[in-house]
Amino acid sequence: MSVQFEIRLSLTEGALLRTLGLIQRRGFSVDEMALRNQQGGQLLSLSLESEGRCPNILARQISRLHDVESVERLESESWQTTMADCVHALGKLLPVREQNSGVAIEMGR
Amino acid sequence: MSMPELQAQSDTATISGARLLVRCLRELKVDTIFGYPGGAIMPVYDALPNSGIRHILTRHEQGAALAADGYARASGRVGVCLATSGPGATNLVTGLANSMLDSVPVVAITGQVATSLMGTDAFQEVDMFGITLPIVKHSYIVRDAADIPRVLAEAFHLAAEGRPGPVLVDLPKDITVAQVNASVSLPTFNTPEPKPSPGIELAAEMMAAARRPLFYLGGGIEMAFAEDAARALVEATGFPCVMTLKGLGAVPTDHPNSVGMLGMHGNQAANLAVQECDLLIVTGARFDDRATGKLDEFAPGARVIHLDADAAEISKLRHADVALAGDLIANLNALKQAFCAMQPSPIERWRSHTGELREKHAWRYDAPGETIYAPALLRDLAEQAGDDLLLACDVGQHQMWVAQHCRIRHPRRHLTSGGLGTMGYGLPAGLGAKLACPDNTVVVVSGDGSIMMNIQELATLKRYQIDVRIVLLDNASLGMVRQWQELFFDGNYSEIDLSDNPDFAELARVFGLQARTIDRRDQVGGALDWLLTSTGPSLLHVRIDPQANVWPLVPPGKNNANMMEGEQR
Repeated sequence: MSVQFEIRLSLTEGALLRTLGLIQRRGFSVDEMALRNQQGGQLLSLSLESEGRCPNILARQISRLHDVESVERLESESWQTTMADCVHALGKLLPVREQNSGVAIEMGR
Repeated sequence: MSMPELQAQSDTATISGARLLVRCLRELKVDTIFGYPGGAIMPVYDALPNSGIRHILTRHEQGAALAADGYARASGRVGVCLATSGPGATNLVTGLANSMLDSVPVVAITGQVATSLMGTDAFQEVDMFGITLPIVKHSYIVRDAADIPRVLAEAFHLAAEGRPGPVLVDLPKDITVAQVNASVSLPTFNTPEPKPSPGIELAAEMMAAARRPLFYLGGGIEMAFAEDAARALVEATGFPCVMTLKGLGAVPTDHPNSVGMLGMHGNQAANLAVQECDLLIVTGARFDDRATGKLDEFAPGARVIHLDADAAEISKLRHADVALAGDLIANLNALKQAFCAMQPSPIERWRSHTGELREKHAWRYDAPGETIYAPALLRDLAEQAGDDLLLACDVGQHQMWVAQHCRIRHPRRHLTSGGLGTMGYGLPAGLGAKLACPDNTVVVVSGDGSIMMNIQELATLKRYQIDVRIVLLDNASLGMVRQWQELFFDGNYSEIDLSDNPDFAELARVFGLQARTIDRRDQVGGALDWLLTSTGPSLLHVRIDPQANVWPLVPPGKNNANMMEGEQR
């Protein structure tokens, strides 16, 4: 199963490594990733593959990291067949988040 | 976490980063540090004398980390350990992993080579930040001495808030010698008022409707200081309860509602009650595999209400019908209030059934023979020591015997390495616990395998006259491994023989402790009297039957109803 996450990281030492390490330790592999600086932090977009592990539990595990400001799991739309598509979609959606037409599940800290 | 509010002070003198660090530790109410000096951390050691902070020099950094863990568990405060860079730091790793898996608030401060040398394979340079990423709740490398107050305040806050855990602060040497403003501006953190979670009413309705309800209490209760709220709910509902290894004492183990410890070496009554219940109220527990046995056959007829401080634990391994994530005390109190407003189903038959189970499967102490029967000795130890007994265990058969046979009335009075299973935990943890709770009788129960993992800390007991009593159960082997080889590896005993152990009583005397050895059952009473009434650190060396096993036992991969029983020795 492939899942997409959008994770906002604070600009702190080790934030990316800590997050990726947790994801892999919890049984998910990273298929594709993109990272960019944004609004004083970093936006990490990931496509993950898992077998039998629950992505919602993973999202909660990620969200408890101190470096992580928010985690959103993006539901893939049919045309989003690659991570590039997801990133493209995110790029379109992010500046005007209230007009986001996709389904995003906010994981509270 | 809320935004920090800086509390500036007027002092404008400059001091070294190391002295600022020590000043911050005092501001954070640190009274004891466990550590070991070395090159990169020397500026901090230079600042420690006359600081008002007691430093306990352990004889190995692992001892320091585990002592900080024991101090934290016994006191409920953040434990602090200190080590130099390189090998000093890496020797902390097992202790940090131990604290991580058991959710213990510890701050570890490590020296590091100067920032200009980091990444050059300098002498005693190791990437401690990277090494510990998976085994700490959070970590910092201090890059600017002016950040020391903020970093330390955050580290202490993070270690203790929510689900506690260890936090690492890596401190390059140039940061500790840099001159900075002496004023301490510690950020403060606003903790939001705890509120009950949504779902309380539904949970209370399920509890009121249940015919065979059961509490499953775990170590989270201790960490949240929620034992009073948990006991109040158990008593208000009248529901029976089972406890995990780390949950023992959440409700006193001799409480009428307690059915005992569940799991691989739990008692049959507790495991059978779990398999038969129709509602499991899981409180501060996480469905650990040692507790559940075969997970998909665990509590097969039960719906689940799961209360935990950590939302990531809920539905991780078992679906929760009602999830109550958040403050445990607030949720337990709200649940009690909601339940008491309802008309509950009658559960007398269930209560009577669990009572019968407990009676039917009560521990027996009538093992034949003259060799010392460890379960009976441990039962007597707990009875004779009384309510101020604080037990620190090592890992192995004796750990399970303590959990099974010692009366435990308070969760912070039973320190055990439940998650990581760290052999060598007991002695340094007991040492830390005694310093945290000097008025308690602290007894370390260890085995001949475990004690040798941190035997050097006997010197620490002697040096500071830390009044810890040690019961060393010696079966001249790695008993738990031997038991598994006997039962599950066709008796192919591989590398478990320790029959060439040193004379432990003589060894303890060399370290400056009082010591005795016993090997007959009729010596037990007098030896326990001696141990509990003597003054100063002492060791009771107890030779037991090398073939003794821990019973009952749920074999690996089986459900908890399939418990093996065997001969008591």
